[in-house]
Amino acid sequence: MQRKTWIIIAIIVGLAQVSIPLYMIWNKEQTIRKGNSFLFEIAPIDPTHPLKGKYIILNYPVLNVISKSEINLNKPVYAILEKKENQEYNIISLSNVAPSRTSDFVKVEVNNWIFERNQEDSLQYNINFPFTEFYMEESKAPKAEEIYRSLNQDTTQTAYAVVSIYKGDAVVTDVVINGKSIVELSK
Amino acid sequence: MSILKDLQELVEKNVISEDTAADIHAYYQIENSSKSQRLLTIFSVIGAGLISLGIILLIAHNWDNFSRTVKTIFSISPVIIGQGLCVYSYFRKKSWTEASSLFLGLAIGACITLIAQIYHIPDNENKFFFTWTVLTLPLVLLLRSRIVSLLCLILAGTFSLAPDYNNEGFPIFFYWIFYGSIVWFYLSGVSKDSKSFFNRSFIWVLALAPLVSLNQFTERNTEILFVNYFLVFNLYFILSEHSIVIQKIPNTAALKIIGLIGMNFIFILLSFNRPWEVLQKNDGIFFHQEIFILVILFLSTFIYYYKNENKLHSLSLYNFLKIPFIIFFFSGYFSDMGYFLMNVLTLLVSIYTIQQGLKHESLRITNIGLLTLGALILCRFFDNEYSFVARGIVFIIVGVGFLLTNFFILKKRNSNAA
Repeated sequence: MQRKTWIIIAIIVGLAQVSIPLYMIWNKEQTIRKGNSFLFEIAPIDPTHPLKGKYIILNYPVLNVISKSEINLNKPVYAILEKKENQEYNIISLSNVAPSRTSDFVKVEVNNWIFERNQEDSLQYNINFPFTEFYMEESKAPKAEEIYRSLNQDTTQTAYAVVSIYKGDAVVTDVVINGKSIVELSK
Repeated sequence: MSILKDLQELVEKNVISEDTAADIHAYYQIENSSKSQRLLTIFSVIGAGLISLGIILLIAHNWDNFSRTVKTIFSISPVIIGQGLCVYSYFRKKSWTEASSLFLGLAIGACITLIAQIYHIPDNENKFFFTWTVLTLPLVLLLRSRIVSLLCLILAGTFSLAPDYNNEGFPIFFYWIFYGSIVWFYLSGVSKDSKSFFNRSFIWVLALAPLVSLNQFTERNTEILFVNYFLVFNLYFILSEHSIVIQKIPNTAALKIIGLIGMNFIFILLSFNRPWEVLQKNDGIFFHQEIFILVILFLSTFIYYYKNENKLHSLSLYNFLKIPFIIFFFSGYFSDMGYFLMNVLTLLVSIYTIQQGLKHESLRITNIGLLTLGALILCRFFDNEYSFVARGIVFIIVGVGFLLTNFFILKKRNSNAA
């Protein structure tokens, strides 16, 4: 390979190696800065990832959404959200098309659907949110889980994932137990 | 080195001339320096690998005290440092190439994982390994890094094992592009240094790697994998006998051994009743990915007839085995005859292999034949309910057969040598 060609290819490869991670960062920053923050009720447990370290799994309660129109499961499915007063959310509808009038929608996974007999011509979809992991400092993750478990015995206590949502993308920015950040609680 | 110590004595006793002694001395000096160069490369690669893994572990700790900005700068910096080292090694210090490119290859993976950690992005192996392979593969071609070619083969293999279930990621078809690029890299460099350890041993890795991934390329008729695997092994065997391949690749014996053992292994698997039962329950709808691969593999085995000057060789029957194999296999969809015929074929092939091994005094080939025959007999004994005495006698006969044949070949070899 000629030196000039080598340099040109090397520059392209080098730029790609840097720009793909930078794009990932930019994309997520956009979601955090421009997105709306929602609270999602959770039940965390802590496992380990060999490369990314300790994290807590965010389990969400079973979520069934009734939809009048049929959803194509082979295409991306979006849940369109509406903010309630306490920062929690309502799912207004499911759609295969990303809506243009709002940025408060997130891509979801559909597990299965059932025909809803009570309501005419409607289908009930069981969905999962894709944001299921919250990474923490090695020493804090088990502590955080312990705190959550001890609180969990009391049913009045609540745990939420704070999630920024912007045009289909989502970033978990914090996990809050009784209004306090889990990072602060596990210090 | 002992020979260098003896040179003086050999010259004094007029065994060799002073000129020859000087030549020998010069030869070993070059040999030593290239050896120490090689050692330096090996240790620098191990060092770079350990440092990169150390960085990954440090990152995995997840430093809560740092802000998101600091963490993102941390995530990108190993890539930029690696790139700097690669450019420096390419223009200034060639001996650093392997170590610096391995560092960069691992840094790319670490960078993507760290970003996933900072933004709590859940695992998606398909996208992760695809991106990592795509960004690392150019290093193999740009810097001609052998260790990164191995890394890419592992990454591409892992990518093929992480299929895209939701149709949102990348199709595993890309595996063949990655694999093809690495094969091309190997072939383009093999003629320059055909005796090197890398070129002699990497052919094993190249031959074994697709075997891990091949079973991912099925949609419906997974039983057809038996034929696909058989054809891959057949292709390896045929390549090992091809004159152009023999001229170009230093270690074709690897292909031959994998091919022979693989084909015989498939024969043994198909000598059981179980796969044939599954076959008959199949709906027999054939227009799928696995059939496409089957056709391509089948056609590629005909490369044997393309510019091959090496027509006379041992075990030539193996070249044609694919025809009865495919006929017998597909007859299994319609009748019980396939099972029976495949057992007969296995028996004949194992006897043929032993006979060829004895004829060419090859312990390797004879033992492959003996192992197949032994396995076939022993497996049939587990299929049926024979008494312990009968089984015991057969085990002893097969064992004695092994010993006698090996003894016979070794004796014949020794008498020929004498």
